[in-house]
Amino acid sequence: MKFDEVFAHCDIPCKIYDPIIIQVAALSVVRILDIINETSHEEEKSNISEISRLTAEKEKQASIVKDEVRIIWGDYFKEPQINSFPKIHDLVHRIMLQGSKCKQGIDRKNGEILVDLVNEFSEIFWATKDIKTKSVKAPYPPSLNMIYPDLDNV
Amino acid sequence: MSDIFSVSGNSMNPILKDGDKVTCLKTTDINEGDLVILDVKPYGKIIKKVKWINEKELRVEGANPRCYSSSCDFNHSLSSIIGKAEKILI
Repeated sequence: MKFDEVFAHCDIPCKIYDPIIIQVAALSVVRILDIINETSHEEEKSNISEISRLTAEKEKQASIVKDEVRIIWGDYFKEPQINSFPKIHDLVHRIMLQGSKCKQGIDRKNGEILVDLVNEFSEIFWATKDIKTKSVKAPYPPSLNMIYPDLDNV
Repeated sequence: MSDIFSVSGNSMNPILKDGDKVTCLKTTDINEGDLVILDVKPYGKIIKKVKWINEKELRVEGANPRCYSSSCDFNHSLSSIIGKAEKILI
């Protein structure tokens, strides 16, 4: 006999989605921008080497932001979450563009905007789980405000 | 009135295993801990356990701690309930 199916649905077996990876990477972009701007730009070999290394790391951290946002947006967000937070598509698109701006230049302001956008993304992510968030100054440089889940009351 | 469904997937292990058969009883008498079948976009017909239920909504959960379903991350309206499920042996 053949019966209709009901789906004991699961997305992935590990259960782990957390935007903290994205937030730390965005903060790292700002931190690297600060160090780049503090480093002498005189064309000495040691300076060129240092700036090259920092630029490569900035590129890497901005890529982490973009990759991890795409994963949570693409894999975790489904129709019910999107219906509840319809601005998520526009927000993700703005993060993609802002991540690229941070790769292209050394203006600290671009990094700060990236952190703000990522915080907004994090706030929405936790709201889809009915978990409240709080804004706290990161306990390490560049000491910008970060959105953290308030897990004490979960 | 009840229907019979075949379970697909592992998120309800060990209560229900892939391939198990369940009856679906169309009733409004549904309580915390009951197995329910819901019709939820974009998932389709899903089977889960009731985490809590009130006069407007319910929240569901899986039984398998190794599985994660985003269908358990939001509230469902009572209108999405197809019925209460019970495992049967065929």
